Amino acid sequence: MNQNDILKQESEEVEKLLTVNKLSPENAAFHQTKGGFITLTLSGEDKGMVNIICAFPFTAPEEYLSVRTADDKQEELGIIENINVFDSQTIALIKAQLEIRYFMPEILKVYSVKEEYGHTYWSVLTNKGKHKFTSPSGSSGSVIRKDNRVIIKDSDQNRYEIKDLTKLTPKEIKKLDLYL
Amino acid sequence: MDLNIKLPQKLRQKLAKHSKLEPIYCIKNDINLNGEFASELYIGTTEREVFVFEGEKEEYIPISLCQTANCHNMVNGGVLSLTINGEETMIARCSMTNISRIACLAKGIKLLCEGNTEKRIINRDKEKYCSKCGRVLPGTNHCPKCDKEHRNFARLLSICKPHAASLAVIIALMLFGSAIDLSVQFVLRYFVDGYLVTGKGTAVNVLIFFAVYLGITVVSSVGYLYRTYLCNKLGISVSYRLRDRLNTHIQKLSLSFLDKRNPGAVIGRVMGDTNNVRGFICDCFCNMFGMLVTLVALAVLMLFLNWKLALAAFAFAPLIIIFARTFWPKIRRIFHNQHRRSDKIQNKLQDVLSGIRIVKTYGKEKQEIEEFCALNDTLATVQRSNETFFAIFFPFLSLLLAFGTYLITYLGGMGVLEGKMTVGELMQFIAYAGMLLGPLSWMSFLPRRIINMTTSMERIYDILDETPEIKNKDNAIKKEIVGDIKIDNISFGYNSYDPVLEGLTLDVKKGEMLGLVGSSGCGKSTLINLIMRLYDVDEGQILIDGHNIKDLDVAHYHSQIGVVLQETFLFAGTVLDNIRFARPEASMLDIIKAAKSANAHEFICRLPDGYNTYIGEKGHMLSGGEKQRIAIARAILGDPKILILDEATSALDTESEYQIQQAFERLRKGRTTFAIAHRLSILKNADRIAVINEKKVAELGTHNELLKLKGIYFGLVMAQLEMNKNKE
Repeated sequence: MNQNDILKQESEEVEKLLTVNKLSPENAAFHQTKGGFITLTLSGEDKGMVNIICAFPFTAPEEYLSVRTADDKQEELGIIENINVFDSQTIALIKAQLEIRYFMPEILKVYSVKEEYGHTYWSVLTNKGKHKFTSPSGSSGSVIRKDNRVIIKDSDQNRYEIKDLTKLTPKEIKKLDLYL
Repeated sequence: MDLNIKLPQKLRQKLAKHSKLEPIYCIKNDINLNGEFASELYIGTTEREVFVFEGEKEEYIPISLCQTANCHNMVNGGVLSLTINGEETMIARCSMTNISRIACLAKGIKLLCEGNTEKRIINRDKEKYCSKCGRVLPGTNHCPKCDKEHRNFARLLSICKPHAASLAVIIALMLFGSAIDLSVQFVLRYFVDGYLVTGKGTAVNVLIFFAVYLGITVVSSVGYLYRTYLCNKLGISVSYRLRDRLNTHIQKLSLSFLDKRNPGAVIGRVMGDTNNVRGFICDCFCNMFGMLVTLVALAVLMLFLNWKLALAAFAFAPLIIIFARTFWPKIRRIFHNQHRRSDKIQNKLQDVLSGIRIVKTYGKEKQEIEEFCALNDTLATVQRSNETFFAIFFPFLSLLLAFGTYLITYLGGMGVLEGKMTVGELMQFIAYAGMLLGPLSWMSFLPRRIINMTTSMERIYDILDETPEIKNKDNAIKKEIVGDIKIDNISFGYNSYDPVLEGLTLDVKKGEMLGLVGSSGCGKSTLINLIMRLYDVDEGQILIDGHNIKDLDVAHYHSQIGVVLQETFLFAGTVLDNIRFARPEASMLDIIKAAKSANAHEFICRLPDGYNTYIGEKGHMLSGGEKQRIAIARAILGDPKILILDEATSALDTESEYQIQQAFERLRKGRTTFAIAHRLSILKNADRIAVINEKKVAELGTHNELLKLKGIYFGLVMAQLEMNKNKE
């Protein structure tokens, strides 16, 4: 490879970084591997295993999904503007991958919250089942966003979300009041 | 962390049926492959097969079919995969709770796949939860619940031991005060019954009573003042010693300890927790004994005076306390709520005022005003509601208290009329009933105060009990470094599940300048941190002049290293203090020479107070380049044997950079130098350049050799040339 080739390659890489390569059923086909991962065939070329990353995991979890190579480089292969442009099977496949990538149980019900020895002990029902966890006391572990979404970080750095604080019962809100 | 927990009996039998081998690794996992929380989920491996148990389900995967194992980091979780017959297969998922264990398990399985059945992976992370009760361990190995509280009391007593005499005086004064408070009522009774009710009293008697009462009150007040003084003195001495010990110990602890803790949390322990202990000593510890004695004495005296009335008072006083305690959570909640709203407004204001330039530039004043108004409205609503609550609650509590006194007065009054009690006894009784509330209410808050104190003591001793990971061995070597450095197959990661460097090997000769190049986050600074021994390698070894870095005296070794980092850190103090930090005994001339070498002398002389100019938060503001030149002067003054330059010239203008380069050229002669620079032109003078990629040294050679190689380095140089060309 001579100097010109390298420079050309660099320019191409910069161009690549600036281009938004939209993925649609016309140019992209996703397949599930036997091992539970996902591969991409892009314009007929097999790109191997890929990772799917949400650009807006809270506000638009099914839009603007960045599809990247699964190696250390994590090169972006393209962006899915909206998951719904794909067929139901692909949608299910992508959603399953997103579910694996983002582990943030949603709290549906608060059974109890109590404080002991500088930590807050939670007993909740989540969309992943009943669960107990502990967060550091004080409000440092939780964030209430403008849209009433609450993100709680536990002592192990797991995150839990309450999608809409106002949807909880007044009794539950009262229980949470001191800990948010 | 334990990587081989004991399987439940039933599962052990299942495993035994399938395999004759014992598990090497066994982990209790928390989520299944569907991402649902599972309680009976175990994953592990014997020498021959990986096993997964979930409820009744069991799965065995022969290691002989596996090529490798991996732990993939996800967002708040991870995935364990095995490559089985060439196909990467998801075996387990985990939350952040188990990711460190799962990463170790993956490493363990990988070794088995490679045929290495001897080596075992160890997880150095501490257990976070108590194995008995499941409560969080506050960063220590001691559970605040299961470890008996007397351990903390014993510690508290041991801290107070040097002040035993003061403590004895405090207790004596407390008892004396209680005795006076109780006995003064006897005087009152004697005076009322003996002189007022009978009508035998004279003006002299009243004067005597007045003098006695005044005398007792003065003595009691002086005793109280002296006791308060001693209590505060004791509390302040104890918290002073604790703060001192904490700070001294923190300075000795390894960087890895501070990495895992939020600086705010550590500051909280040094300031907040020691203050909690001080508060406990002043308010509780010194009063505890006296309060208890007062309470018992009061109860005995009241029963002795009128047992029926005493029982009524005993029943009524706790009622008031229960009433107040019932509303306590509500009061706490509304206070918390108000603080939260107030904090929000404060944060908003701070945010907007800090970024006022941006707000104005984008013309967003109206939007900011509206957002502030909304927050302000909420605060006002909460404040109104809270004030209404307090306006009702406290008068009602006072009414309740008064009602108790009226009831006792009524019942006692009836007793007086019936001749069962004297007026003096009634007055004495009413006074005692009032006094009963104080110790009772104090006692009701005692458990909470004790818990607060024990938690604070736990957090303080969490730091004091921590042993530095990097410490001197018994026969630590103190020697002048020559500068030959051999990095032998090292692996390291800040988190056990996420290695930054793996199997890295590098030889650097005395006096050599080695440039380190690679993409951001590839581990260049980590490598330097290991060479500086701010952390110890997980695997492999670093040899300095043939000695393992772990055998060298840490402080002596550090004193021979000079560092200039990308983010220049200067302490609040003068320019002189900051330069002299490397060598406090340096002469003024040495300091000027060092500053001249670093091209800093000129600008320092132009500062209003020269070398005595105060820099820091409220001091003179220096530019990035000026700060960096001071840091360079500091490094030069230290006369280091090993020089570390981590993007040291990134904030310098081209002219200064040239001059600094010259200074470095002079400085680095005879010193082993490691230099990280994104601007590759800076590394032209390096003897060799190492390119770090994929956790290893990917390319190594001189600038020209690497250019000829036309690999990663060549690509980087070309990219920068192109960038410079475009700029021109």
